[in-house]
Amino acid sequence: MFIQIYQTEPVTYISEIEQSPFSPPVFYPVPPYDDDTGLLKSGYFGYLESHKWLLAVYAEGRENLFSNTTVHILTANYIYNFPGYGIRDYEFDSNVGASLNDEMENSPIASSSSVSEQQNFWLLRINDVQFRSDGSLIATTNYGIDWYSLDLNDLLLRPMPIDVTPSNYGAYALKVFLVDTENSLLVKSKGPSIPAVAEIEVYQFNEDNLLARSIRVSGVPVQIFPENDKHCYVFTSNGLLNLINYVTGEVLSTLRAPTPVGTPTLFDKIGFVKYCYDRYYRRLIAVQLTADDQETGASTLHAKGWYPVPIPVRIMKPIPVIPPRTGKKVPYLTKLFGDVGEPIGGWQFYPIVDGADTIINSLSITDENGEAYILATSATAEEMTLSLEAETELATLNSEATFTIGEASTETASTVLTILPAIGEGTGPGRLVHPTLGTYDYEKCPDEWSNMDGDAIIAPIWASSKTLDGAANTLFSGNIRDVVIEERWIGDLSVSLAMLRMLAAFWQNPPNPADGYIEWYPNYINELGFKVIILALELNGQGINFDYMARQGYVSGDLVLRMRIAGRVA
Amino acid sequence: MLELLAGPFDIIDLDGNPVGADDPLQVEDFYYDDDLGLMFSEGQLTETIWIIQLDGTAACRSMWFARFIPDIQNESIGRYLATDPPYENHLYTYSKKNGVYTETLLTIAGVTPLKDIQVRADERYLGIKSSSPDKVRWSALDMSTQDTEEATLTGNGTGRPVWSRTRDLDIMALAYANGNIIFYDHIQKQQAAGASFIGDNLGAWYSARHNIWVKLTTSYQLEVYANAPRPSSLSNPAGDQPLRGRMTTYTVQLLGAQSEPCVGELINWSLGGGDAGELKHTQSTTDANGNASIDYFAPVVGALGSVTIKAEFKF
Repeated sequence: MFIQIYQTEPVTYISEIEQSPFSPPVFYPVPPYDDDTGLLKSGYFGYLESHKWLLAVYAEGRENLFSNTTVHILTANYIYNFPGYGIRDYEFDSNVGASLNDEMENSPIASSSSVSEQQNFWLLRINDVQFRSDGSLIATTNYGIDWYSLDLNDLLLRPMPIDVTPSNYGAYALKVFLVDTENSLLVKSKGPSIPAVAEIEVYQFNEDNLLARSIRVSGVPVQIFPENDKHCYVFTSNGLLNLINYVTGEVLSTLRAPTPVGTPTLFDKIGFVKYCYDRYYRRLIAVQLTADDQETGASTLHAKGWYPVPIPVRIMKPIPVIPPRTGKKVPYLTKLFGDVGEPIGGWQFYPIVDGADTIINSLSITDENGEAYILATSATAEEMTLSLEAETELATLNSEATFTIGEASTETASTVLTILPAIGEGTGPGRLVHPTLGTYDYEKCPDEWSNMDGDAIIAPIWASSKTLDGAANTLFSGNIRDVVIEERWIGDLSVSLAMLRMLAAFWQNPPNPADGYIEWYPNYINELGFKVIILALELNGQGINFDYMARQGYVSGDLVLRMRIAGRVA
Repeated sequence: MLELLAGPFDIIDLDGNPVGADDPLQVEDFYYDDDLGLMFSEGQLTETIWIIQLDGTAACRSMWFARFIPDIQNESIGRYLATDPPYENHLYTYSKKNGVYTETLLTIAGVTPLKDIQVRADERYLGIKSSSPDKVRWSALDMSTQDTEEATLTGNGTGRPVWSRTRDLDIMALAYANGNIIFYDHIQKQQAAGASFIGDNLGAWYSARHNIWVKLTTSYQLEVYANAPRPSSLSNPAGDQPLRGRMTTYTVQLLGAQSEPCVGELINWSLGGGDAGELKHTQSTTDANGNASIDYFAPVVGALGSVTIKAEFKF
């Protein structure tokens, strides 16, 4: 978007009334209107001069009374006196916008009184004025078929230094173009105006007049004017401005033109717009043909200067990106954008909430995409209105939306499971660990064992109490401390005498409870460990009963190791 | 059904005038882009491309008409491809920022196969014809090979779907006119997991930046949907019997009203009060099928017995 930062005084031109066309003109500073009818009094004629056509606006690096640059507006005017038609150059200071023409005196006029007859002939036929990339002007005559340099010093037409024949560039006449003599390029709108083509073409000024490239733009080009020696603006019929690097063919940006598109007709040119880029103040200058003041006949034509600045024109209504529910921190998305939908970043919002006991969790600044999230949490399930406000140079923007905050819901599912003992795999012969005697791995795993599988087998506890008419029975889970384990080695030669002696040593030396328990690892059946108390060690019945085999280093008969589990090894 | 967050919004310009698809040739096209909004090419005669914000506010961007083709090769630099309907004899690169064609890639005279392409993938064009909405077809980038079947879809809807990028760069979302949404892996060349439903539409696009869906209704209004169906059912945790000292995995499935999976939702897990064992985590997230799992460690010590595993979802 553009913001206006400059405006000139209106053009001053002779608007007095000529009393009689046949006698020397007598000028009146105020038109002699009839008080009753509001019309000019009888015997008076129309305005002496009025704008017919807008030729150009341009900035020149020429010092004046106020600053060192000057803005010019070139118009073609009807003159109700000889010569009847002429080109006017109105000058303004570039800083304060003051008119540099003498009060009530027209600017130098390019007419038969100041130029040769031949030049004047062409001047009267000027159709339009276009730019060179250095900011100088080219006038076209003969409906765009013939081109001349327009000398800014004396407003005279001079021959072009290069031969320009429109047919060499694919057109019968050229009406919208830019000449870059530095790079020998011609930038022109494509094709005739009907059918309209939203495209410009870049030709090379050389023997072949080769088409260098076509560049699509946002609309049908109405004017092409330079920013510098490789960038130009293209003003289009749909009111957009493209900034283009015509050397590379790249469209750099799209902006909505600051001055509305007029709808001039063949006979009424009011609304017609001309642009230029003021390379001294780095701004866009626009002038739009406006009607004279109806009462005084004075011109209302003036130039305005604009800076392209990112100014938002709208705030997008906030939109929640997750369902708004009570107790939930909900991000509400919004966006600041300009008049072509371009994002505006770095802007602070002022959100206001009403309803649902809502609090704002964070303030937000728009990011490079113009977007911001506003986090808000609502406590109750009812309607909430979120209002946003942003201050701009032009206006205070507002946006609001109302949401229904839903009740937070909870979905719960559960399953009751019973833990089963893990079935382990045997990996060893069995192990006992004594706090003081150390670790002993069995020479061979027991041939039989009781109350141990994947885990200790704990018998439930059943209790029965007699009642008057029967019994009350109770069954509940037992405790691991109730489990008594037996390991048995059976056969004629059940174990070695050394193993028996080691087990006997573990049995005969119960550890001090302060030192811990004997740990038992039945790793022949599972991977668990238990704290145990050895209750008994029996060989061939109660006690340890040897026979003659003991002298050979073995024991015969059944060997039983009985233990009570005291707990698990964690 | 995805959950409606905002809308419907009428599409109106900055001056308050309605912006409608009233081009006599009816060759309008829409495409949602996170950087811009909904791009709307009004048609060949109207020749206006609008940028529409999510609340329906439209701004004129340029004087062109186009059928937009997402370009996976170049989307990150702000370029799409575009054809020129209704004849679609040209394929252009398209500058989304300025709303103009920038370069002519292909020109094909006569009845053109360019009508059938919808996406430029890394090494081919992809498209789905309305006559066979379950078939993904590909064409070579120079169109030397055209319209060859690549994959068959299931759960598809009717007509020609709209393609959207997703947060997974390999996956594209396909939204059909009847509201079915499915996903396609353009690298693996096969359908990806997941499905959703958004209702009848003229177009529905996924916003990867905001994780929402933008829908153009059949009456040319804009609606914004959450990228998640409103949860409707949570299954009981299912898994093997727990064994002492072992880890067991339990899974729940969160579904919407159309039995579509609720993806990416956070499930809170807990054990019954005083129950033995422990959960590896207390939260997990639903996958593309709506499943969320948790690992339970049965106790090594202590009594055998029952535990209650509870899954909870708040929304």
